[in-house]
Amino acid sequence: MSDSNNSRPVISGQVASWLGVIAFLAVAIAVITYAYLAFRSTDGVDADRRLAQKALRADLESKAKGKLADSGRNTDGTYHIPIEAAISLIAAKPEVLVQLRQSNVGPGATAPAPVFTNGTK
Amino acid sequence: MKNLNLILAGVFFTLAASFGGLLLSGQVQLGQLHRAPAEEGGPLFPAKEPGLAIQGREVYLSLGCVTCHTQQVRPAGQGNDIARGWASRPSVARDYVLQSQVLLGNRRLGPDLVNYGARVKSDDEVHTHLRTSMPGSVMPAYGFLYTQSKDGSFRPTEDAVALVAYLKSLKIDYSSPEAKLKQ
Amino acid sequence: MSQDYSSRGSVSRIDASISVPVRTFIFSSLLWLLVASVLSLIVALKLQVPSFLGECPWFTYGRIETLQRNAFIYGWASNALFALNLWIMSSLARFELKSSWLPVLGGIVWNLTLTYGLIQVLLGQLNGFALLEMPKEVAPAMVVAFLFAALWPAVAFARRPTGNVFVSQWYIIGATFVFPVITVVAQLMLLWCPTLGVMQALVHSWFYQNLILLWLGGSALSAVYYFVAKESGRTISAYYLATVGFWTLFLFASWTGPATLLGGPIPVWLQSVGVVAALLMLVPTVITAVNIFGTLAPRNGIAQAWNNTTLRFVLVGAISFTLSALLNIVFSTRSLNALVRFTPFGQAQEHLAIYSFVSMVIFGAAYYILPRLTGSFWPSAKLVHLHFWSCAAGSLLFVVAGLTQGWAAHGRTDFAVSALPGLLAASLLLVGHFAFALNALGMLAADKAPSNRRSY
Ligand code: HEC
Repeated sequence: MSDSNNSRPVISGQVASWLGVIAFLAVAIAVITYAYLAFRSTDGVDADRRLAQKALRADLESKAKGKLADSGRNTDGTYHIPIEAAISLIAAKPEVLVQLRQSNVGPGATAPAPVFTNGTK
Repeated sequence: MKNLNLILAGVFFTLAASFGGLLLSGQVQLGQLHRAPAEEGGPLFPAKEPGLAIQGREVYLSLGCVTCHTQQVRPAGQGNDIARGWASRPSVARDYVLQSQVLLGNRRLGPDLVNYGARVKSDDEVHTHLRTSMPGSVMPAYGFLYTQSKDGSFRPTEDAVALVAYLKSLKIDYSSPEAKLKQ
Repeated sequence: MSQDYSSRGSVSRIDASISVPVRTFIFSSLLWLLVASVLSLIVALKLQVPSFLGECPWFTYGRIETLQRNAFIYGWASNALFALNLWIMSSLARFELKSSWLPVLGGIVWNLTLTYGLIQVLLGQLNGFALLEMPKEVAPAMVVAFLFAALWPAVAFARRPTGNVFVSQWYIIGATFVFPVITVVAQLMLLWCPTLGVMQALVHSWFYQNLILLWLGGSALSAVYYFVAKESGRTISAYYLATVGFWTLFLFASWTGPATLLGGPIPVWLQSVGVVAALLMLVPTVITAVNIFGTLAPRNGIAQAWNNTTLRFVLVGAISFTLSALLNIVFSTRSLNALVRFTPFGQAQEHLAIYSFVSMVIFGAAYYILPRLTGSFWPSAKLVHLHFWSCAAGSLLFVVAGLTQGWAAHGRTDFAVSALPGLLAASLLLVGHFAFALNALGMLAADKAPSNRRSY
């Protein structure tokens, strides 16, 4: 063959052809791989949903934790206060406890639901 | 056809066609398959494998049991698998959705194991089978899975315990939407 | 495609330029052949005496069989086909390789990674997919090694001085293209980014059929066409059909995967597609048969072929190819498949393809190539005879073993007894392979300095 130039190129003709074949193969493999990964991601829908649910759960949980730490009004009309405040309140005025017990004996339906069950299952 | 790139392109086309026709369309149909209840509102099948069984699959793989045992039962019209009592219904694609490596196997020197867990009675039976060779059977004894204590009794190694848990977890004794169990 | 060998004992420039890589490949393939033959003897022995080498997890049946299969396909057949493809293409395209260290490097990496992978298998790191059992870090390295080792025939084709094309060249290029693509795709879909459930079986069947029929089969067919034309000195009969044969083989073979899963838990339409493809394989099978036997049959050609060492092996290979292709077609019909599926008969069928066809063709080719490469003669004609007869008998016995074992698998005949022909076959093949290796190694060793013996 006629590769016998005196000034040898950096990449000889044979090696260049070889790289060309590799490039062809690389493109072929990339096309097929891409097709597979694209089709596969359609069943990633399920994974996406799981991810979204996880984010929602984390969000609700942090909100619920927040409720334990500050005071405010619940949706059912009762109030919540931080736990430390409640403890010192009871320590100062033990008869509050008795009052609370009595109100808990009342119909369960009106009792405020525990905050945690507000999250998703 | 004298040009290299033309030949390569042609061969690429033939491969890509079969890849699309078999694998991509298979993926569209099978990729979405999930567990399903046998009847409305019932538990989902196939049941999740216990952790020990998942370890046991690794042992099964590593000892190459798949060279002699299949894990698939063909429908009644195709071979006599059901007549041989290996399972009471053919295995279907949904049975395998939880398995990390599907070990269908393509050679049966020994019986099919897809429903082995449903036909074996006790752990001891499996341990004895693995530790000793049945007379006339080509299945080797896997004695190295057991250690002998001083009083002569055999203690299974961790691998043996996991392997037996795996073998016992192999069951298709539930109905699936594609293959109902005949009562 | 004529080359001047008038002065035997001298090496052409073309052969001298590819001598080092071809020797590297042939030498490694010989070692792997011996390893694989010893392993298959152990496998056959284990079917007689299950407790043989049974004390240690390393030598359990499953691992030894896996080793044997991989050593045979990737060690022996693939290495030998690297050599064959390079040699045939170079001589057809009058190609003088400049940077022969690249394929040599590829060959070394290929064999080292294969060794590493097989040791891992021996230690218990194996997957459940036939011919993809080695740990998942092995295949990428092997694909890269393949690019270095096996793409030079394509380079030779691209840079050939004349526009002539012979059918062998298509087969080599097609086969070379198929291997890296299917390996990467199958690895991706099985081990790196696995698909779910039985999709894995489908992917594996696609990979497996392509590997056997196109990489091994395609390469070997190229050698069949080459040596039949060359050694008989005849033109291929009905040569115009050869193009059709080539394209239909590549078109249909890659669809036959699901036909190997008949009755399995995959959608029925996929199985039917596979069966149709398997039946369509009749087209390339008939065409190659017309091409090959049509060339050899007239004017006492078969008898002449029989008296020519190379052609005798190639002829046995070509007959086995036709036979195994026909058996595949017949046994991919559902009712017949139900009978033989999972039985050792299926294995015998495969043996017909990868041993009696591919390996016999490689042997024949080696008997032609090595003298030209080394400029010396085969040390012993007796060993050549021993090689041929024990391998031919061993091949035949393997089919017999498939029948007897298949019979035992259905009925209640004693399995160990039915496996006796298999043991005999494995021993015969081992003897034959030793004879071949002895001869070939003797030849490779006799001539140590290839590159400075250039002459026309
Ligand atoms: C050489 C082939 C071979 C290998 C390897 C092999 N088996 Fe077997 N196996 C058989 C044969 C044959 C039988 C039936 C005869 C018998 O019970 O021993 C069998 C039977 C069994 C049975 C009983 C099935 C039944 O329905 O009663 C179990 C369980 C089993 N094998 C598990 C395994 C496990 C686990 C491994 C891997 C550690 C394994 N086998 C490896 C050939 C093999």
